[in-house]
Amino acid sequence: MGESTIGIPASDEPRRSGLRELGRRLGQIDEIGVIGALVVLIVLLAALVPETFLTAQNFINVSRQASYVGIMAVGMVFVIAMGDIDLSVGSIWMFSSVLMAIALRDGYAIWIAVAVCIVAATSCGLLNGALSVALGIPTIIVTLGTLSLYRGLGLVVTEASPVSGYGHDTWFFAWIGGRDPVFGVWISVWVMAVVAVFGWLLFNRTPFGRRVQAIGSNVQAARFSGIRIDRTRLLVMTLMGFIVGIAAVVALAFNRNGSPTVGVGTELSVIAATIIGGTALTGGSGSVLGAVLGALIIALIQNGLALLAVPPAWSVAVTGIVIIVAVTLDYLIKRRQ
Amino acid sequence: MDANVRVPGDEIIRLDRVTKRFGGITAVNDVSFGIESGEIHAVVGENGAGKSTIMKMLAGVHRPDGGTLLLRGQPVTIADPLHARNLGVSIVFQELNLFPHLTVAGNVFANREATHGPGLLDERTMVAATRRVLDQMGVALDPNARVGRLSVAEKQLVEIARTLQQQSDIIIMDEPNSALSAAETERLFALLRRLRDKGLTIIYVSHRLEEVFAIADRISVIRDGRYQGTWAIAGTTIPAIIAQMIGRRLDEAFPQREPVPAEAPTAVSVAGLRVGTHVGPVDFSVRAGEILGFAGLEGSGIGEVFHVLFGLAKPTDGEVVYKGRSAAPRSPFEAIRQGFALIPANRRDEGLMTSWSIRRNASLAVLDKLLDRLGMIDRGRERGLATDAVRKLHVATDSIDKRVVNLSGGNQQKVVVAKWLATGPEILILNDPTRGIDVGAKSEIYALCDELARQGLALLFTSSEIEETLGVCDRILVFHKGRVIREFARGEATKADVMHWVAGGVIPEVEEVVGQKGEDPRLST
Repeated sequence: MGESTIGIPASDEPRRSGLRELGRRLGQIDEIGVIGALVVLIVLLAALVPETFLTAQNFINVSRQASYVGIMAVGMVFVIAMGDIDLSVGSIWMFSSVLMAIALRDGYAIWIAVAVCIVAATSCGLLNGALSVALGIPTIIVTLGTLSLYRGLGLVVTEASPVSGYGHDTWFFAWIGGRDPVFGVWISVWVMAVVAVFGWLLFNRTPFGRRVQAIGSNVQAARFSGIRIDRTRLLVMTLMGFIVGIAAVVALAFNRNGSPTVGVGTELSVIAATIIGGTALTGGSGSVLGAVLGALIIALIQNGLALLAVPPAWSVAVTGIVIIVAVTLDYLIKRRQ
Repeated sequence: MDANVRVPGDEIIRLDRVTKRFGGITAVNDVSFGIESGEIHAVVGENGAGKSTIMKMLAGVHRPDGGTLLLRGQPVTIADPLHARNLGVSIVFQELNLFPHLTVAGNVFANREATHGPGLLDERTMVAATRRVLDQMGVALDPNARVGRLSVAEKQLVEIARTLQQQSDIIIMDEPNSALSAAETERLFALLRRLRDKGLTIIYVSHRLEEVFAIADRISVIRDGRYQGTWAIAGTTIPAIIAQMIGRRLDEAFPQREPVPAEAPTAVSVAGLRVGTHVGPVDFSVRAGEILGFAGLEGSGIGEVFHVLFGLAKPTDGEVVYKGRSAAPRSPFEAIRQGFALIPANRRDEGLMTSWSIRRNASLAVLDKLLDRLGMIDRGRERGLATDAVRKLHVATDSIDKRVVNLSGGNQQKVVVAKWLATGPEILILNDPTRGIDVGAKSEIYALCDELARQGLALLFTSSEIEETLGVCDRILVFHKGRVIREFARGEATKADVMHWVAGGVIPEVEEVVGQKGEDPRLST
């Protein structure tokens, strides 16, 4: 069916200029706001600090910094598109990665430690979903509680100090925490790409993804359509935990030691990346690609400000401004349609 | 306002060659007609005919692109709704614009709060004034009641109280009764007549011609953005108005029904069903190929029974026998698997994802049947499903990717129907399927019901318009206070008969007999 002929019969239609037609077509791309913001940011930084910013090394580093938030943002797209929110992802990250570090310290094999991390993170997500469904409480409230609960448990098991005391000369740290031999890109970035591809397919091409969006769009109509709301919510929150587990594994491979301070405030970066990427906070739709690009934007801002020798505290404030600009841009473009 | 000094019959509003365009579409085209002061003037037309646009111009929501609006003989340019209100024009929208968390008085005075001292709310004055207005209306509502807890009918009264408090002498009612029961509608009409007799002008926009003929003094018809004419109600008939509305005579709105063969198997039966504390015991059965009608007021238990059959509510007692098994579905998911489908009463809240495309809405209940080998949604088949449905049900759209929010009510409802027919149901429950849709789409729904029954589906049908239930169904169960109190075969009952039993089998008490209760023979025994 002709997407270009929606609306007005061709005969009455004034001839569009090429530029307006291009603008209209660009406006139909869901991620146009975040792509626009990304382009503006890159052009700006390239103009301001060309010699340090426009290097392959810099891009490779920025993409690694973006990767952990980017991986988690893929899961957050499902959560927010369903009309929910998960505030506990930073704490799940910390809790699961210190458990993994403890497993390593206590001499378990690497694959057991990885399994501990993933299982712990997935269980945290499952618990979030189960509490919300069983008690009938919104996930924002449940995860506000588990945000403290999981981090608190992490502090208990680590006694609030970093977990180390295991060798870093294994294939795991060298490989997962390293860079690929062909392009020199960090493995965590490749993991983000794989998670994003699977997430995109799941979100856009499967009944599960469609149902998640249906719940966010109109929960009552979703119920009347035979969608099992509780089951879907449980699955989405569990999936979120699982994805945090993946991020925790690759982050620990790079950071090497288990730190009880990792992930503080990360939930806000993850949510910000998702929103910047064009996922509506009201639910009903979302963009996996946008969320990954959103994570890149956040990393680019921090990178750019560092290159510009701006004090790190300012980068937090500027991130906030960029969120507002990107979301406004997205809104303005979409409203015109 | 000077409503009292004007002689009834003066033209209070005149549209002179008014035109309104939205983009390339002319919604209102060169419309000229007048509304007299002190009359109830109905404006009717199919969905999308332009009647709401005209009302929004009068209420200051839209501005005409051409032509002139005259108010009390003077040309006016209405800047915004506030200006309209200051000119004495108020509109009561179909979707009521109330604040559920505020009280009745709070709503009546919303944005015009009475204050004393340094800007503190003067609750006492507002409550007293609200009580005065409600008394004038003859309505027993507590000014301190929270609006969110009121029924739809009561909310509508609050809206009317607000317009009266604002001293409006022209009140526009936009589709006022689409959610009201027969008794509530009758009360509303009595109020509107009283207001008219006090000199107010009421413009009444509606689809429901039966009710328009019961309330209006004159009627104007809009079709495709053009004015068709104005008639005195006494001098015209419903078929004549329908012909004006749709541009052709609707000889046979309801399909002919063949009797259901006696050997047709029972599709589903219900025995001793109770829901909650107020509904039941209910017994009935419906055969394959039969359209079973349900007539009753809001709250008579029909909705609850439908919800049990579709797994949305749990019965407290009794059983549902389906395919030889006693099993009420425990969830809509299960109900759909067993072959039930429900067209819900509230299209926007329960039927559709309004921001989604036709395609995505049509496929939502059958996603699992559209999978390719990898477990992904086969987009070709999804498009095929939507394209077929759009064609078969005559959904007026240029693309299956159009968002349903941009469709008219009738076309939206067809998308809901498409979604449920896609599940291949054996039992189709239709809960007021024609609410708020135009005449043409209504008769298409009737014909579809007939066709589906012929294909062997069992249909459970209810409508807020009793004529419809009479015209569509093979058999009608009358519900009152949670129980079936009467059953009629097709053709056995008139509308008056059904109304009689819907009200509980007694003569409904109408406002006019209040005060003569002593003479009521039922009370003197």
